[in-house]
Amino acid sequence: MSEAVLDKLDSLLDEAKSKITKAQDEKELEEVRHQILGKKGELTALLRNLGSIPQDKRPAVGKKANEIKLQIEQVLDDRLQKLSQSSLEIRLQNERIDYSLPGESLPSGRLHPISEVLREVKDIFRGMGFEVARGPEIETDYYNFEALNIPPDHPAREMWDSLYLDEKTLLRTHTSPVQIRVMEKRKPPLRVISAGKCYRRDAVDATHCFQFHQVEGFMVDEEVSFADLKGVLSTFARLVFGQDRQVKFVPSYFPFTEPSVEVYIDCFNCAQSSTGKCSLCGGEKWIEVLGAGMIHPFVLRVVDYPAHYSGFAFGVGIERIALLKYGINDIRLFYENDERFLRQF
Amino acid sequence: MRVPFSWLNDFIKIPDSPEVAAEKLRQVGVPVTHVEYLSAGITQVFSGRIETLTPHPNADRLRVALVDLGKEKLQIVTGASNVAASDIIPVARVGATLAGGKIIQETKLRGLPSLGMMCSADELALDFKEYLPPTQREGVLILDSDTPIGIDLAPMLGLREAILVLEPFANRPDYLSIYGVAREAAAIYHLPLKNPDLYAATPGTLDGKIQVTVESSQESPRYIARYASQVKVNASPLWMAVRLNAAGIRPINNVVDVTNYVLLELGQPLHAFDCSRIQGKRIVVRQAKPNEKMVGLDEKTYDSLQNILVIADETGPVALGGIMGGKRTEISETTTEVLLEAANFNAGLVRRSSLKLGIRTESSRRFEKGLDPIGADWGSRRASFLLQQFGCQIADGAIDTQPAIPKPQEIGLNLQKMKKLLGVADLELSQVVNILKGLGFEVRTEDPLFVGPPLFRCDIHEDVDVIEEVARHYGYSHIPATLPAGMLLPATVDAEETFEETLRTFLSSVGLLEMLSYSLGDPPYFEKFYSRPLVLIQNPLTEDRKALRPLLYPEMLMNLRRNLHLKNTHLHFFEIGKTFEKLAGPQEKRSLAVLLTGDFPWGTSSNFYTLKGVLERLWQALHIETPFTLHEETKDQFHPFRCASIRHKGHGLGILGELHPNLLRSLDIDQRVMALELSVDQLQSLAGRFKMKPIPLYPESRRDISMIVEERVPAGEIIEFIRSHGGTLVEGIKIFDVYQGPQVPANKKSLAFAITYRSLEKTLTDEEVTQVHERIQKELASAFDATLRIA
Repeated sequence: MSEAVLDKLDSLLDEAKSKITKAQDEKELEEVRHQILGKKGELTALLRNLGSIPQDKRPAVGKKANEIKLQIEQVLDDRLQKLSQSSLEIRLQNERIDYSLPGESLPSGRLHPISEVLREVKDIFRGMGFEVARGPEIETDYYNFEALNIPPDHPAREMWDSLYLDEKTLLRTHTSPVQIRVMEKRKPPLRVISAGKCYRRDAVDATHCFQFHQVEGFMVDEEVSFADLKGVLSTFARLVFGQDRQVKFVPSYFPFTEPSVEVYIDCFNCAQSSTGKCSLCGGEKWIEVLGAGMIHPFVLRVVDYPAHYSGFAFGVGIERIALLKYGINDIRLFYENDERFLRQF
Repeated sequence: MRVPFSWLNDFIKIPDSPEVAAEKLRQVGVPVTHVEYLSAGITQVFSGRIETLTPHPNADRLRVALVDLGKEKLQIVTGASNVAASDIIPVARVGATLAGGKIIQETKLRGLPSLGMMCSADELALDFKEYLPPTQREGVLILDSDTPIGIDLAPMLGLREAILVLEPFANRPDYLSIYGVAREAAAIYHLPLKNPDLYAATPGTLDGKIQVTVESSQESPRYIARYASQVKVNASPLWMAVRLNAAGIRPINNVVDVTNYVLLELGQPLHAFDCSRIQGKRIVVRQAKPNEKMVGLDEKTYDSLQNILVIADETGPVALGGIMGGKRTEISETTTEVLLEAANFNAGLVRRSSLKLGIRTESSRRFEKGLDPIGADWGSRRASFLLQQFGCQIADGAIDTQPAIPKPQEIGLNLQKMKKLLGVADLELSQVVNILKGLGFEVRTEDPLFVGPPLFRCDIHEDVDVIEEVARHYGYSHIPATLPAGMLLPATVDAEETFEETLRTFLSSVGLLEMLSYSLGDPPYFEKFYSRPLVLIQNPLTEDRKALRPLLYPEMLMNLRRNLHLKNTHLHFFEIGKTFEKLAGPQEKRSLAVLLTGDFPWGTSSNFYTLKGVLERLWQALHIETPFTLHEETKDQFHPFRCASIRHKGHGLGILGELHPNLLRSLDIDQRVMALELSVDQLQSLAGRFKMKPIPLYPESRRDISMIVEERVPAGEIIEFIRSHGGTLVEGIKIFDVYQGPQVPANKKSLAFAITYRSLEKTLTDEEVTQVHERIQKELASAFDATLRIA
């Protein structure tokens, strides 16, 4: 009796192995498991009949039956592993995609290029310890001109053709009035920049606009020197236009600085323009990027600073920086707001 | 200012090419923008005298000339009809290059060899033809009879002349003269400067010829008059015409040309009057009288001369002081005696007058920047010298209202301060002294250093002005570059600016494109959107840029429109900037506006609710606790049923809506446009400080309510009702369906809400949720007369 059961167990194992091997997917395999190990399965039925085996044989048969069960389970699991792996591989293969199809659209707003450049310029100066202040766009003649050593009838006024609201009120022609407004309220040491819109009575063409942006900056302390001005502005110019730029300082004139200077960088476009004159520098090899100078003692006297203080000030035209940085050839593009232009930044 | 290089070399022999000299000048602050060449590329043109001129044996229209070039004589066959024997003419030899690259070759004309060409103005690229006698305009140029034979004509005719083009600064009127630039060059090259040839002053007054009275020495510090007789007005010699033309002033006649020549050369404006036309032989320099008028040399009548300085004779003004002469005393062909005026006028007065009259002349450009009184003396004597050269008789003596010129105030310099200010530790006293002497400063004492600026430097007032002189000739490039030392204090940013940057970051993160539009616009256009007074520009460049924008979105709409016309149809713009309001005075406000039209890239089309979505997200981003509310609003420019004012705790913050189709049609826009405008000032005052909310530990439970209510019941009121009546377990209410259609009775709508319930203390049981939910349903039904739809 017990021999017959043991034989049956062996054959059941063989049978099970062959069924398991034949199962072609996870579902078929599950059926096989059910047939053999399920509640009404063959092995289950066999084990249920263990009671009919003599007492003394039972341990041996039971042990054998358990071994067989474990073996079947092992084979089932192996097969399952294999089948699920291969079905996964099939699924993955079917999921092959076309890499060349375009990506999906996501919200993609942008800042205006002028805002981008303003951020960059402000960040550079903040990094050098300059705080950011601001002032109004509607200014008085006093802050815009007189306090900056430009009295009425001064011929330099023609450098800033102005839009007036009334005799003594105008749209600021530069951000320099903020210098006076800050110095009136505070004492040195000061490192301050101020950014914003300015206006001049200029007709609109490729290089002029009645509205533009400027970043004004100044530093006042004991013993601030022209050498400091050179150091700070060279650092700025190289951070904006590249570390390998040459920076040149050329004497200039502004009523509110003395000595005054214009800062140039060597043209980075000349190498690219193979034929004729470089379109950027006009063959001059140098590009003007900003104006600066040592703050005129008149200006420091206006705000009652003691004579042992000195300082430098500078003004950066943001449109100009953006034109140079991005290779834009027409200032009007900034204010026409063509979506195809704005999207590029 | 155009400086012909050859003219500069009258005063200093510059040992460099024009380009190198230009760069050296630039480095000391003479603003040479570029170098330009006249008659570029023209070579081998010499002066020749026609010895004989005979008809061509084989051609009626040609003549055969034998031309003497000094070392040789050439046979030239010519078709020119305006030449005669003994004329001196420009000859292009075989091998010469003329205008347009034309190269002269040996030819045969009707059998006779021709070994060169007689040149016309065009062939030499001389661009002042209209100045020449009519026969020479198209024919051969005829040179002055005293021109030496056989000389290279390049210098005389300004062929290949290099012009240094300058844009002088307002503080350096001396750069508006050839001599002034030469002075700077002499300091750079350490070379001697040659003085111009001046008429030697002779003693005497002009008694019996002319009298001068200056009413205010404040307005006219110096007035010098000289008198010339035996004047013959005709064309200037060619060399002078060529130079004037090269420097940008058209030649007119010898007398006027002399005044212009001296203006360019020395920077001193002069005026020549026809003395015979000065009534009463007396001139007065005075303020114009009421109702006086004058016809200027430009033929215009100036009749509003209040506060204008005039030069007047017995009958009225003959010149506007420092600006322009009058027609009545203009030099003409009949002039035989000349009153030469060389004056110094108050700079501010000339500037005011020139602005008021709306004329700027070569003269006013110089006077308004401040000229030195020595210039008047030099100018007068230089012009007299030249007039004498042209055969005029200069009367002895002059009238001069300021014969003695006070020395300028001397300036003390502290070498230590100079070193510190420039950051140059090793600057030597001797370097400083050399530089200043080279620039014409008088070094009175060296220790301590006291210097007197030269008279022609009206811009030097205090020590920093002198320090700049030292710095620019020491060389900006030789000054080291250092980074300033100082306290490492964190650099703060203005709070308003920080807030605006936050807004920019947020608005671009939700897919909006930043725009920068003009702050100035067209008043009638703005008035369509804004009924209160606008802030206006007094002196606008054009009428359509006369008003400061009262709101952002109208000008943005113009940009949107341009985009639509360019076929950019899906546009989502925002702008942050100043708007302007007229209260007691003009006021600046900060504003934010959004314009939406067309679809978003992910498919949604722009509508009222996308715009409202922006606003809701903004509220979250700014951590504003109390939500905004929208209130029905009627504005002409908005859709009557899709426009709302935005309020927060009752305060108006802005407006939101769809623009009225009539407005859009008037702008040729044929798609819907949404607009939002908000006060940034008020937003900033609402923005909260952010504190993290705890993440819930227990799960939420969602229940839906579906109900039918009157069409006009705002869903927002129902949400508000649930929020206020629901109790603490209600966490969120979302509306997920709004429906009107066949299954819903007319004038009613179906609304579906999802309510999420959650407790922060425990997991809610089904019964707990159901209890609250059923109560809410019941209360809603009665409060809104709603029919509940049980799913």
